[in-house]
Amino acid sequence: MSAAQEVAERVSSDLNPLVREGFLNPYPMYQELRALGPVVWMQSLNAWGVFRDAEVRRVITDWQSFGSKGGGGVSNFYFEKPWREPSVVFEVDPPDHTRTRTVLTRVLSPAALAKLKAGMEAEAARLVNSLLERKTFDAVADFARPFPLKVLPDAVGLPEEGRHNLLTYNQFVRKGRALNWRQNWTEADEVEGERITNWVADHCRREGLKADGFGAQIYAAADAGEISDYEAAMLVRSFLTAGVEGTINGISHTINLLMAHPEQWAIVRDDPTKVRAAFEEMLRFDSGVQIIARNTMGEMDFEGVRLGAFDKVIAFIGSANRDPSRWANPDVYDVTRNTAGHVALGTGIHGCVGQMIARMEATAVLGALVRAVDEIRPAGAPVYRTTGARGLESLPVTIRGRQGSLAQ
Amino acid sequence: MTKVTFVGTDGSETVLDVPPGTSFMQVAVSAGLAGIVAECGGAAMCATCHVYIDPADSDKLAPISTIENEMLAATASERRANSRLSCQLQGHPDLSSIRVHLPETQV
Ligand code: HEM
Ligand code: FES
Repeated sequence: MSAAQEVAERVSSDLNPLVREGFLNPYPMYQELRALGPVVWMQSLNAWGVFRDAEVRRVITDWQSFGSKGGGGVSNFYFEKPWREPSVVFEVDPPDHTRTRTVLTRVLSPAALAKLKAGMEAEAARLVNSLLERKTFDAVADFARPFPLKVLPDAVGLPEEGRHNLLTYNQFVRKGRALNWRQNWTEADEVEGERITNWVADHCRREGLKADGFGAQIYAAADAGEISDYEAAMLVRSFLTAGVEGTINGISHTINLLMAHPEQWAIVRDDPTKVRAAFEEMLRFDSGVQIIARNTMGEMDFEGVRLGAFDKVIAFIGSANRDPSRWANPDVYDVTRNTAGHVALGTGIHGCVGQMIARMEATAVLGALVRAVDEIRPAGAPVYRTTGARGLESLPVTIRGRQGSLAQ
Repeated sequence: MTKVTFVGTDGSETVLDVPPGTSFMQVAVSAGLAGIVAECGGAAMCATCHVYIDPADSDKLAPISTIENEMLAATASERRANSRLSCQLQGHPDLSSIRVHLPETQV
């Protein structure tokens, strides 16, 4: 079992930035935890936590010491059975990872994505034009959610019907990554979890996918012998899990932050090409994804502390992105900042493979909106989720169109 | 430490010390070197950290991985035989110095 219990000199804490007040605003806790030391035993998570930029970077990039097979969440697959079959890219180490990742790199490279740009921009313009007529709408339900839920599954080659199932599936994946997830699993979860698993598995099969999409390209790599058919189906699943929710949260939260910071909104309104920077700074400043989890591959010394074999080590990327030793004025949302080097999308061999399409989606849809409006303000209180994926559930807004503008 | 000389398209030279295990890209970005964009922060997903290895130094580096090879197909400036992604190149105790040339454009 875990050797962590025997370590005498470790610094430990009972703070839990992943629940309750920490979930909504973890930043004051991060400040305390960064000050405690380079690595902290988190009693409430039964795991080590790292909070400073330097150690976070080391844990997420040093795959020889910190592997991914123990699962992408707090739940430790070495000791707790995972809810679903582990991912063949996110939850594996080289050399298996290199094989699957090579295929995804090809499918999602900027060169491959260039073909999607015009279609995405047309879709964004359609959506924004319909909202210009309504003036008051929910920036989550009517804007941030429908766009990725249309363009990403379209790109994968998924049929139209039943796409809301992707959001349900994401909720289950998240619940299934929590510590002791099984203890909190209800009978209803059991039934719905099985239904959704089957729906996703059905939609990852070669037969249902359109001929020219990412899905078909992944199966082409299987036909070429680069990966197995099983791995191909599992890689299609990766798009369906990781591909939509982060983008939805990111698009809605960028609008939220711009409304909360009028001087930043003015910069973006005057130069709509700045939406890309506004999205990127949102990622650094307050992203939906706050942690990346790894496991030690054996007993090891880390920053003078003895870690046990297969211990869970959680890199708090949201804390690294606010580390004052790395960032000037880290608690300020500043769209003019050089954000290069934030770790909101990870970095190194597991760094987000979907990040260029996420940026492309956000730039297309936020760009279309900003080019068409010169004012956007709250039309009610935003509703934040308090469990599950961190992000907005609802964001009522009112917009005023620029003189005579229709999105183009 | 590895001394990396970045040569701009105008011939200007910037010499940076890259510690073992740290990427050329990371040090260039921290130093604010304009010719390296590195939008993906080192995940080999953006191809905006493209460099050309000086022909005299071409045998000093580890070979191109399959992943780097895929991404090199997406560079904005022409891919050549000596093209590499600087996020995939790391300082090493056995590598004392190397010259790399910046491309015309990264985006
Ligand atoms: C703003 C939106 C997004 C955020 C915040 C996000 C966040 C992340 C993070 C933090 C990681 C690193 C995990 C690790 O190091 O273990 C990651 C990996 C990954 N992401 Fe994203 N992501 C986003 C969008 C997407 C999209 C649109 C896709 C698919 C099209 C995607 C697919 C993946 C996959 C497959 C991995 C695993 C890569 C690997 O392990 O090699 N993500 N993402
Ligand atoms: S930094 Fe993006 S490919 Fe090197």
